Amino acid sequence: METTSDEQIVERALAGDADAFGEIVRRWERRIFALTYGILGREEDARDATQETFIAAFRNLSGFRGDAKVSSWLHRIAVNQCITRQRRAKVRGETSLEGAAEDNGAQFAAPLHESPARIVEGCERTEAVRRAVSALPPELREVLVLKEFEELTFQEIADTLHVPLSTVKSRLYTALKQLRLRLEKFSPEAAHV
Amino acid sequence: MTERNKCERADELVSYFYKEATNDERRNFEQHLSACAVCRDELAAFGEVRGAVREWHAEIMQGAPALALDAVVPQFARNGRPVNAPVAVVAPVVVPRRTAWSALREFFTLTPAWARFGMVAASLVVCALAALAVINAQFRWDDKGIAFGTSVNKQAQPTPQSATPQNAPQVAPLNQPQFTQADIAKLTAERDAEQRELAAARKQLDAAQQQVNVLNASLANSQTAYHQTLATLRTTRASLANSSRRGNRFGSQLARNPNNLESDDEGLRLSDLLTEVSAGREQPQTKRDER
Repeated sequence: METTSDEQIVERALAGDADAFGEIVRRWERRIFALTYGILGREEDARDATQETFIAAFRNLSGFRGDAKVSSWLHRIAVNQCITRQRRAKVRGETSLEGAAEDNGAQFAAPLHESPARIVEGCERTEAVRRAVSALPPELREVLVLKEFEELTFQEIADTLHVPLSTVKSRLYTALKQLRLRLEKFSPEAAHV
Repeated sequence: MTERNKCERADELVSYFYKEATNDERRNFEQHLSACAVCRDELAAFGEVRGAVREWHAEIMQGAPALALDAVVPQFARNGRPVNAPVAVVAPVVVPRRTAWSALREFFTLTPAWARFGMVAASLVVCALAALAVINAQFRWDDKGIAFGTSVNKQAQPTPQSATPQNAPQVAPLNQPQFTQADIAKLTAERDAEQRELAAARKQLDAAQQQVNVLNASLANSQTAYHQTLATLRTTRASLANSSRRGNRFGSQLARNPNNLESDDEGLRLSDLLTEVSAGREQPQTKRDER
């Protein structure tokens, strides 16, 4: 059980503890990877964005405000990294996330205790979700991932994305509605799961 | 895909769905739910969607690769490159070689819209000014209106100015009057009209010259006739003087013998005198002298 808070570890890192920031990375790298993967939709991009997130955090460690939460700070850096990568990808004319879905079809290991039929069903289902989320516009995808993956409140999402609270709600509603329609489109039975 | 009805209480639905509504909002929306089938349907569907998304998230977290960035990131951040980092963990990011065009596109994409608009507008202005400078465009605004001229045609065709000697005083281009096409056409028409008037005046001058020549010839003839007449007149005057002297002698003779003028052999007959006067001859006198 982690007894030391993230903020205390950052204070140690600021005080010169060379291993303190490594502790932050160990705590957050999987969650940040999931967050960036949910937004970017490709594992390779998510790896790079995760690494760049922690590098940027380490370089800007002195700019961390003690009254803020480390989680919010890392979320903001990660989302900004994702937005920058998305813009660059758009400029370079790279394939859309929806079109590149087959590259990441079953990369993550399925639970071994499941039966093969159940595994296949589960893989198809999560693959349909991944495709549906990847097909959302970036601004809707960011709000949805921050809410569903990181379980941030509306206000925390608004602070992270620098948008009004009402915008967060409307984007979430639109994202859920589009996701419902896209899941029906990908798999008619998905709408009745 | 069926077209679903829409309820106007989407924000309240989202707050209720994520359990961020206040107690009053929650109770109020629950009362609405009992009467709104659309919101009930959406609430149920959103729950299913949320379950599917969380299932996907759990799969991501379960299969997330071990990045082991804790030992790498600090060194990477300090040195700019990973030290003793496993190749599979921190593989160098292969950045495709970017062309100038792609870099420009990225720059414009990352630039705010107002800055993009400003840069485009400034570029257009600079290009327009450069183009006007190249063609040496000049604007003129006077009583006749607004005129726009360039030196393109002047460069293509040699102008009278270009034929001037090299040592001729050079006038600054901006001080030279600029003419429009309409002005040139108008001046050309005026020049043609003046040339026609000049040709007509030349014809009139030639005709007048001929008349002068005729008059000069006539004057010469008149002078000749005048001199002849004058000579004749002098001759006649002399004759008249002689006749006058004879007339006086004849008168004296007539006074002496008024009844026999014709029979007198010594006397001069009147018919002879008249003949002499008209002919200017002095034959009767000679005859009389002979007599």
